[in-house]
Amino acid sequence: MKFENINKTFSYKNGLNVKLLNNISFEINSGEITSILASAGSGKTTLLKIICGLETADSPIKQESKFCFIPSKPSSFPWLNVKENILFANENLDSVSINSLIKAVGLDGYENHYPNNKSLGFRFRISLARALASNPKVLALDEPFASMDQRTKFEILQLIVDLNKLQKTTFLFATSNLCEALLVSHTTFLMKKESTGVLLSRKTEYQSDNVFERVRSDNYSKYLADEENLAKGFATQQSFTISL
Amino acid sequence: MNNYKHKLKLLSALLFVYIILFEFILEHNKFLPKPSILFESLFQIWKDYNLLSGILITAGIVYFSIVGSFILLWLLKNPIIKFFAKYSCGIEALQLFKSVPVFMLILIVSLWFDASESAKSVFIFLITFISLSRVLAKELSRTKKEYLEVAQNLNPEKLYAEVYWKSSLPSLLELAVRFQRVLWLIVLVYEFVSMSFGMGAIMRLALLYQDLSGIIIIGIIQVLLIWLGTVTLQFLKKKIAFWET
Repeated sequence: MKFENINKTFSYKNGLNVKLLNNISFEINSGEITSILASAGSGKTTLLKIICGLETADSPIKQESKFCFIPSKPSSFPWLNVKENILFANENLDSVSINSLIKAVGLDGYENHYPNNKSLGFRFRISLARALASNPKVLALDEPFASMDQRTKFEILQLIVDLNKLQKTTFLFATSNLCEALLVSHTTFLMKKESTGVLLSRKTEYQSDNVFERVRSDNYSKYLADEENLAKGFATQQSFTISL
Repeated sequence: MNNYKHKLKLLSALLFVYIILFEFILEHNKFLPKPSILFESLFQIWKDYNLLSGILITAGIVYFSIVGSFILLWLLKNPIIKFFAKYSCGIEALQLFKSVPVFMLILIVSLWFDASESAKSVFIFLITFISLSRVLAKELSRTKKEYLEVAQNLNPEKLYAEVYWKSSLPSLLELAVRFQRVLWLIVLVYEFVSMSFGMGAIMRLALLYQDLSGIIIIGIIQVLLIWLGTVTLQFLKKKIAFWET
């Protein structure tokens, strides 16, 4: 899936025009996890929303397949239980499919529970199951781990890896955290403020499907310790591969 | 529960002080009647003022207006929410009603329709419906962005009737609970001014007869009815809108 020349300009009432995205181009491979790594205010959320059809680019992009958006803040509806939240996305799902979705995100036994007063991880799992119920081509996650604790974050990262491995779900997630991008993404695109043209990318090859094992690998700490060189690598090379 | 116990203790203490003070110490005064006289006049007032009909009419108008307005809003939620979501000027126009003095409206409607019961019912219903619509309009703009994005992305058909409505429902019901007390006051003032039958008109009669015991007993009944209404509406709120947005 190729996205080419995405532009987005915000016009303010005082006549000020701010060009947030300037001819951004990148590619997502089906069945892979792709990250957009950028610092706050670089336009990664706007980019995701444009791709999902929630924002319009300066020149509208063609929307050929279903892209599903999961916002950074908890978005499971508090007036619906787990099952009803899933049915919101697809009313035609039979109970077998609903149960398999619930099981896939690790919520079996909680079908009739409401998201009120539940943890962020629980609510994120509901959002994930609900998004999967709509059979999307790509699942776009906007900084999903921003307010999660470390343990929940790793659990969800593992869930994403498992869903990608077992169901071949394609993920696109925006993050400002290098570790998150490094741990799960087959491809990471670096987006800087005022990025122009094709986004710089980095490929990651994984030896293990277990996120904790990836964390324990020597390469992980080496790459993180060498963050400066990693950034340099982004800056100098169009595409390079690391092994984890 | 502790709060209720505390209130009950306070109330009992005040009642005790009142009984001791006005039954035995200040027997002859013009401020409050003797507790025994108050108790005796309770049954007398019931008959003399036709109090039961008055209670049924006033309470009926208050709760019919709240429940009726809520049902009407629920039936029309789709077009109303679509209208407010599309035209924000509609929300601003509705907010203007907040500044309209209700007392002036009561006087005008009383002048137009005298003691007409139907005019009273329609007027109170309109006041309630507009107030609930105003809160709904205000709550729409507070609907969480993430809910709207998800609905637009996954099931845009449910955006208005499901997401906007359900998001606003807890606040709407909360207002119904609080507004009930204001509505009681509006209906009482309307009846007092226009002399259309109800508890307000009965209070005016009691004032004309300088019946202090009557005024106090009717006041106590009103407090009890408002308390009962609050408890019932709060119970319904917990059942209908149990979530927090």
